[in-house]
Amino acid sequence: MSRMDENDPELDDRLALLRDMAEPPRAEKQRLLGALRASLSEGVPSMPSQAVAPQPGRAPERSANTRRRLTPWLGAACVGAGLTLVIGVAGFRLSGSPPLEPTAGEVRGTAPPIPHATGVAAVGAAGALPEAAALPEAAALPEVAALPEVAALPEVAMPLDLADALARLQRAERALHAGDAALALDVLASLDQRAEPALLREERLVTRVLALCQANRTEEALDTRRELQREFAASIYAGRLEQSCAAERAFP
Amino acid sequence: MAAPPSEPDVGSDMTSFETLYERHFEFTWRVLRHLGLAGASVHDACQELWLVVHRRLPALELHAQVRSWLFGIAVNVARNQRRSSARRPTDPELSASLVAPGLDPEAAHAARETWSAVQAFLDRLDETDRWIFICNVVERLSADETAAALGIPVDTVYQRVRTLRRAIRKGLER
Repeated sequence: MSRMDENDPELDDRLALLRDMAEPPRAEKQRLLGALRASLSEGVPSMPSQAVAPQPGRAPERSANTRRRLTPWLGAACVGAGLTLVIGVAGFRLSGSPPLEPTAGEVRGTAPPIPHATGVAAVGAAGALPEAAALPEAAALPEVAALPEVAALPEVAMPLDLADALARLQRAERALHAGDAALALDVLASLDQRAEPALLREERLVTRVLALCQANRTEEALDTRRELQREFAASIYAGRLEQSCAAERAFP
Repeated sequence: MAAPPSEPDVGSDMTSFETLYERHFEFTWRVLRHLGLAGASVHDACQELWLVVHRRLPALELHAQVRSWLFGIAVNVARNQRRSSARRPTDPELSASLVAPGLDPEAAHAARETWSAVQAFLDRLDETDRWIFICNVVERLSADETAAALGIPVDTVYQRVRTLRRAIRKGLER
């Protein structure tokens, strides 16, 4: 910086501190990369035109050689998309809803806790479903026909991986920012059902505390805050909760 | 003026998305924070920024200075993000509590004061000066990189940086 004009180490030190303060939280880099991989494997949403065309001095887009330069990443994305499709189909057959994009119905559903299945078991079971549905004797039995057989099957879904869990957590946070605490809590509940308990546990607890506060469910928020305190005594998110209804001063 | 260290020219490996991400993720995050985003907004903006980078990777071929290119995208993404999040509650706590973990209380207090003073200073600047300040003074891109990022003459960068450094020094002394 001092290259530009006079030397001022004190100013430079303070500005260096400023850079330190703006650094991303720990683990954010990997989390965001996971989310990016998920977004790209699901299909990149269209970007606003202003973002696509950066400001002054930006080179114009060269669409002619676009594909040529996207080689390794797109290859991986295609494989990922294929895998997602397979898993998505398996999940759809079992649960009747896409596993990666829950509808309001899904996240607000009251299905019992879902036993986790291995990938092989889940795919195998999914493959068996259409045959069972096609059995003529099953269709001939009125009592069976009257029951929504597939829907009544216990939901056996593959546990969410980190990227999917992160995507759901982000949906919960977006709902929270939009002031829809009920939706945020529903999404968190769906995350609890589908993700391993330890996956993003700290983040889930923090988001739940904030959602419960927003929903004026202070006692539950405090209980969840205590849970957070027990499990993550030095949580890096503690500061986020200090302006919530579950601030540290609010509980002994 | 001594020639500043500059980013290496874009080679074939630099066009790999994940290589770019690995090398420059922190830079992009910081720039978005300096541009005034916080909390979920900075996360969302950073994700959007890297999706744009992914889409525009071919344009990087003709843009030798990677950080200049990324800065230009960050400016536009931040502007969009601010527009879309204008109706959202902000996350002021992030600037006050999640910053610089590991600092002792006194240093953390000084850091917050610096942060607030610089944010107040940035708020008073016009857009171009704000970008020059963040790009060159805070993030230490060279004058050439700053000029390339903002599409302005290098001489303008030199001139404005001298003025801006004097102004921020006064601002921090208050």
